[in-house]
Amino acid sequence: MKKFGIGLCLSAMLFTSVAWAAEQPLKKETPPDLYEGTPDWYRATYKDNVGLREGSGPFKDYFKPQMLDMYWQPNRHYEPMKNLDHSIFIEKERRDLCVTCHEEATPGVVSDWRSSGHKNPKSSPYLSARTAEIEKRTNRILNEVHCFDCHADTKTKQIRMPTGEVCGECHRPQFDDFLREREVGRPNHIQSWEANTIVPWYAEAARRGYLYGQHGCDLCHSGAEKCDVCHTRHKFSAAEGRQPEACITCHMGPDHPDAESYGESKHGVIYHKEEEHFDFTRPLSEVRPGKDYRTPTCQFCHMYEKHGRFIHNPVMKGIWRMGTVPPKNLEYTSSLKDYPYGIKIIADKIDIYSEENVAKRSYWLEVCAKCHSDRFADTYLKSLDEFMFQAHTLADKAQKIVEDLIADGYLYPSAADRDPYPLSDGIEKQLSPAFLGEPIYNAFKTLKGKFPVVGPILGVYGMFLQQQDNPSNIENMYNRLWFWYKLQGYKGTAHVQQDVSWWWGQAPMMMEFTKIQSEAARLRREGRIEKASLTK
Amino acid sequence: MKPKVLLDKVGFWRATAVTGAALMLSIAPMTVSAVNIPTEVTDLGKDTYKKYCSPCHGEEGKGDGPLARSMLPKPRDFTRGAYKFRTTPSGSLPTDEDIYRTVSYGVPNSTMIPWDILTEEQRASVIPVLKSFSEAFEVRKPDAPVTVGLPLRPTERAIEEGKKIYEEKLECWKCHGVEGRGDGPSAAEQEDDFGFPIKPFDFTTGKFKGGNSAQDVYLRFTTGLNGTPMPSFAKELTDEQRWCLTYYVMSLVKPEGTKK
Amino acid sequence: MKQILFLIILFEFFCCNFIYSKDILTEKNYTEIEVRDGGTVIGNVKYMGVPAAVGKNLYRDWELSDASKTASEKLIFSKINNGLKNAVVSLKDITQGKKKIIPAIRPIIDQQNDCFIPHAIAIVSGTTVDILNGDEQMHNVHTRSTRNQPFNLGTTYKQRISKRFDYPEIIKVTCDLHKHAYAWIVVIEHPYFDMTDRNGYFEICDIPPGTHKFQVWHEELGNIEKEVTIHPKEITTIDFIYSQH
Repeated sequence: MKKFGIGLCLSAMLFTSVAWAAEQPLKKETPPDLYEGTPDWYRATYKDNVGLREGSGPFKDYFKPQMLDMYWQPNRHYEPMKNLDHSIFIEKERRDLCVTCHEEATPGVVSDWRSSGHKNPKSSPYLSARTAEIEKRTNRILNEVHCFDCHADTKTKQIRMPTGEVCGECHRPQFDDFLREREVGRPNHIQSWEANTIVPWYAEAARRGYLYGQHGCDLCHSGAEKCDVCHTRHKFSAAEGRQPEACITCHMGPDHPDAESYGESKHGVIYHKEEEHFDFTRPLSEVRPGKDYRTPTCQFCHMYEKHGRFIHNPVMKGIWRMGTVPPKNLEYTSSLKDYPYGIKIIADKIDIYSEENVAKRSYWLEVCAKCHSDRFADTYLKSLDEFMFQAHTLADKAQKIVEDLIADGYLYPSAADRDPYPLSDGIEKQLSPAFLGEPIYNAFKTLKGKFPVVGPILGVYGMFLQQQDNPSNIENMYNRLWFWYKLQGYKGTAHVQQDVSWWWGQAPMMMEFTKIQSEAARLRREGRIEKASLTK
Repeated sequence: MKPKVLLDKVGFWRATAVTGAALMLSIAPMTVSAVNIPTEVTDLGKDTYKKYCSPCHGEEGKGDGPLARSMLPKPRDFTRGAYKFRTTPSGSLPTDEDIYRTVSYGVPNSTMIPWDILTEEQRASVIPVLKSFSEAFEVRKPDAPVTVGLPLRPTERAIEEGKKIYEEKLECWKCHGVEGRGDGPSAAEQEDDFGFPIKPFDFTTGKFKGGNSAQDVYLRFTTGLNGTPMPSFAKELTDEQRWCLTYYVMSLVKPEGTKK
Repeated sequence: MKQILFLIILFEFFCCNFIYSKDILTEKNYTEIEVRDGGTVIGNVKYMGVPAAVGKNLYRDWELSDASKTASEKLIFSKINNGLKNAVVSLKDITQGKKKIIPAIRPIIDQQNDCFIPHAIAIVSGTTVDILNGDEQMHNVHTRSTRNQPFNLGTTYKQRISKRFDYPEIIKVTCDLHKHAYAWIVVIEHPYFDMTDRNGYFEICDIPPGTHKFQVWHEELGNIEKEVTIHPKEITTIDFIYSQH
């Protein structure tokens, strides 16, 4: 009788628990997907694994990737090593052997992991709390996150190189935050590989034998959607990701001198002076300005979303973005008034005073107000806007000069006599009017790329691929003006670095402008002389 | 009567079993396990070697597999027949059981993992393959394994005696360091028979390469490590002294966490 | 019948190792015959080159063992006739000839002042070599050989290690405690060989008449070969010359 009673009790408990589970609204969580919301064909050209057989993007058939790309872009290109088949270790799930061997084969990696939160996810109260959240969400007990958990593909029984999706299995809120970069569009981190390979000059350069010359492109542009670009392997430290140094390997150089402009600004100088007093272990939302940070870091300003909340991506609040897209709020004399020329796959002009951007500006002021008065910060940012308007006006004037020269037939060598626009045959074949818009598509179809392209954004090809007489000297000058000096002046002003603003930005921009003027005058003169001698 | 009649079916198998058992028993003191180690190179052995060993040790056993170049210590070159961990005297070839033991238990502090992930047959089958790489196995035979007598008791006195040997008599510290961290004055210049630098063992790790039991450590002093600068002390030290030294170096082990 | 066969195979399985090894051990490539009208070869091994620059000995005043001195043992040659020391001249591919005489007095390699003395010896296979320790400190004797059983033994003051070398091989002997010290034991299967003295002089006698291939080995300069015709009871003079590079 007693036994029966216990049995009854147990079964009752069982039933109630089952019923309770059924009552809970089943929160259906789809597995993390970096390409969420994109169509199938898109996924097929960027995500689906093809090994090293073909490239990525619309022009994937025109080049084979570098072997290194399998590490930069594992989703697309990773192939497990053939020398030593690791499948036996995965089949038998011998977790101990990973460390036994790699402790000697790659000791740095194992030592990093040992000091990481993954090895001891419950080593501190804070960490335990965060781990408990993950445990609850993933329905797993996490006493150690092991090599095996990230590197073993249990379906194929092979080693895999983790991507953001693997991290997202546990770190879902961060992953979802990061995924929101797609809302804002390029340039962003999550689409960096797409940006790398969608441009026709990447495939064209590979076709012309410059694939490995583009190593520099691949290093930044292929891995930015992997979490380890900021939280480096195999420590994956959150604190490390909060330090400005996490950004500067990519964010530097002539088109986006963020490291230089921040590093030499007063903000950066104070950071370097007092770095050891900064407490990077605190989550950004709990940073007490002045106490934990005496000066803002890249992350503190750029990852601030709004109303005291921080978001796990740095692009949400961008207004001027990279500085290449012309603003709506100007009157243009050149063809920039028609920007983006009907091309559907590039962003429209920016309306600096749109409702959305005005709101974003107020969020910036919330950050600045941690230290600066509202009036000071607002005045500063407004002067940045004015700087950008002036710079875009100057670029417009320069573009007008070049376009007039072309229209009057003085461009030398003329577009008909030189190499066509990069991968023109591929653009015509692979992209439809739906992407390019009718006029641009027809231009490629009828002229086969034998026409000049200047200015934002397609004119930037000259920065990445120089072909036979294409672009010419004057086009190169204009490229430097709008893609280098304008952007350097922008970052110098935005990050408060006077020297970058003037000597790397405004001053060379003006010098380039007069050079363009005199080059145009010279070409016109030579053209006139030639015509005169022919008519004689 | 013809033997054929004498040996009926049942009787035959019984006789075989008894003979076999008797033979096994007679070998038993020498063998570590009862695994049947083939004498000839088999297809299984070749396949297993190719799949799991050759990536590091090379297709021809020269220690030059595709993964070897970035490794330190370098994978063993089998062509010399120099095996570190043996029960046989210094310089001698190893017994099959010695090789089987190393394959099964691995070598701590190296990329040689315990290959207990493979079946016993697979592990045993690679032994003739390894031996086939060196002409040493054609001209020489392994010497008889050294006998490990009854161990001395690890008393304070024994450790004290071992310390004297370590520091004064044999000057072990010249390579292994006074504290046994493998950082003695001659440590940096040591190289193995193949010309690769080799680190003297760090006793503080406690992961003795040939096994962690006192008997294993005792065997290293008695047999030396072929192919490395570590000599045999079978002549210099009495059996008792070797046990003392064994207990002394084992007392140098530091608790985990002090090394890495 | 099958069953008996099985037993035999079982028996073979346990015994074959011993039979197998004995066969190999008795295998010899050299047969001893009586040589009556043997010819003699004398000559010099010369090195036509400049000695390698010896680094300045910065430890000169520090009473440490003189490393520069041992470093130059690699390549010693006479300044008078360019004769090269420590080169081994031997007949190559000889299958039969005079009797092998194993020296009654064992050759010795001593360790003195952290150096092996002599630096190189050539012996006929089957010879036992005594390796001594003349220093009042710990050394070890570490040979690197494949066919002959290698050994690595610690030695203390006045200790003697005796080892027999049965197979032809060129063996490097080192002391791991004193990395600069090493010696060579050249084991040759037949008695037709000589090691050059400090004037590069060598002498090999009782060679069966005919054309033979001679080989010279030197640790730094490598091998050179030459064919020489030996006439009965005559002395043939040949010189081997190593040119620089």
